[in-house]
Amino acid sequence: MMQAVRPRLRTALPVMALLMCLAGPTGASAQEELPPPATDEWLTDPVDRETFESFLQFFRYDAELPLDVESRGTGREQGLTWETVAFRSTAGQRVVADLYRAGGEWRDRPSLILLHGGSGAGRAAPTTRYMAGLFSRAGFNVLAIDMLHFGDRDTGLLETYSEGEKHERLYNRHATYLEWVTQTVKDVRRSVDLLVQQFGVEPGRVGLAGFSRGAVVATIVAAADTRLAATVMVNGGHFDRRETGHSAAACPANYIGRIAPRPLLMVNGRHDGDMLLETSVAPLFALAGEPKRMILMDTGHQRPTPEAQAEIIAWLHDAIP
Amino acid sequence: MPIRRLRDLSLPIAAALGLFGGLIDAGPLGAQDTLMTPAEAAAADPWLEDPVDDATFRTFLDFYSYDDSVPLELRTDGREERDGVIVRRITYQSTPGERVPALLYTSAAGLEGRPTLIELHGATATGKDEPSYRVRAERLVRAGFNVLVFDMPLFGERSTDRLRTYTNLEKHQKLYNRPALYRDWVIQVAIDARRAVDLVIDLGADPDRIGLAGYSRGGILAPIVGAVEPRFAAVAAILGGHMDALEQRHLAPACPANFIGRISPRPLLMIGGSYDSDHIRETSLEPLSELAREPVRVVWSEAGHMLLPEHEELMTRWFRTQLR
Repeated sequence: MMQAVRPRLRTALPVMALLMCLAGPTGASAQEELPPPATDEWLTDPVDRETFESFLQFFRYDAELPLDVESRGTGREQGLTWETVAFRSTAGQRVVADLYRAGGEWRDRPSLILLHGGSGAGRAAPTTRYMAGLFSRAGFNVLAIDMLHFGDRDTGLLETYSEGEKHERLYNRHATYLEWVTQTVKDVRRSVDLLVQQFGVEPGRVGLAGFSRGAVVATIVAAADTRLAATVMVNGGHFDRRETGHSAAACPANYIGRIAPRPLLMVNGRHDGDMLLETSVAPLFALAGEPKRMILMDTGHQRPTPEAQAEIIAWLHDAIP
Repeated sequence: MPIRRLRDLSLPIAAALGLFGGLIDAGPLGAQDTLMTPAEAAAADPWLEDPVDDATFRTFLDFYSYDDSVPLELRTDGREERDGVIVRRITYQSTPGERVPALLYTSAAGLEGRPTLIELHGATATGKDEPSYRVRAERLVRAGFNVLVFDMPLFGERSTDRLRTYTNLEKHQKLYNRPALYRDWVIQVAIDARRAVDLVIDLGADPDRIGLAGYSRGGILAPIVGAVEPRFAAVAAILGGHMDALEQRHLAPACPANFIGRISPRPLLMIGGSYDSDHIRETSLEPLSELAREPVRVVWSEAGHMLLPEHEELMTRWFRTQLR
């Protein structure tokens, strides 16, 4: 009897954790009154090229800073193994990341940098682990990084990681959010350096994947670093349901059109109560250049369905052969 | 031949650098790069001829903005009185988690009823605690001002292991000639100064009578900080300029040429040394001053990289007039 229960518990715990994690973005209670969905001028009229190029000045980083890579041990969960590493991104900023090796030589496989959603657990959030496993099993090396203020990069800015707090202290604070976006862009750019310089990954075979908040930021990162060969945004969009505004330099609408000609895939739920299809997702997708593709699932704000997973993997193999 | 005509003071400098070539990390400039003379560095900077347009400048402002809801969390760590001047050793929170040590000089009556100067120090290891700054701040208080001078990141109490020797070579190798690092440093200084304005207003300073004075490296930063913070009613760039003699390049958002014209209509004072071999008149100060817009006053001293007593007095009188 005990033997029968234990495996069930082992399965149930991550599922419960996953459900709790997902409750945040979609979990506006029925009584909670939210203002009408926000929009901004850039969603209909993005900034011009000159302004975009001035943004790029702020995403430049010092490539000569030593990465100072440090191993922090290995992890194993449900057949998935990873090595935790830390490396210097910018002066005074170390990024903690989990590295999932696809097998074989590093340079023989394509790689993905994975940006987590707005969970306090950062890269260790169940959905992020799940996505990392999905990509890793499909033959991709995966580097899942903690974004600043999340996971092992907790700074005290966020304490409860409730949706209300994240919006009050980060997402709806224009200056703080722009600084965070800027740091994330640099962190990903340094992640590319890490994969190429430290692990010998082929420079043209590094892509970017983001989930939820990570997908929102991925739009900006992908436009800022042309070394990223392909971008997958899962449950991303322009604004989430609680965002009220951001500065031009932190607006995905001013970047998404600059990812082309590199391919972009957006994966969203039709019934997502956080990234609304009509006001956030579809208008943003419309600004993207070709080649682009959207997979719409009959779901809310959650991990991709098995069918969508298969499509994502097939698309990635085409995009980063 | 007057020393100031030696546009290519760069030659001895380059020669000196050649002597110390082993100490120079060519990496930040690219291994293939050769050191540019000050004239060449100025010529290679497109903005000294043609600053960015208003639309681009507005994008810069987003990155120089800060969250004014972050509590200042003022802490006073010490207080002393010297001949009627009260000196408070304080810290305040600038951006989340970033505390700024500062010295606040006032009269015994406090900040009310007097103009206030926020000062940007030069690149000395001791930052705000440099004795000459303390002496000058005390003189300014006796002349009727409040003065707040804070440690810029990497200097004074904010030193890290990034700068250890504070030699000119080290500062250029590890900060000034690292364009991305330098840009981030400049932005943080500007935000720290803007938060200093918040702080002194909270403490009772007259919000319409706050000036900015920067000296040497602080003088290079003053046009940038003055342009992004409109609450500075008057700006003085003392021994500043566009680049010093060892600087090779910087990014547009950290180039004084893109900012100095945006201080107007607020008044600007520039004081330079005609014989300054570091902040060179012909290649650095004069071209920058030509981009300033009225009302601007440019004063040259027959000196090197030093502020003569008569020019300190001139600055004091100028601020007194502008911050009436």
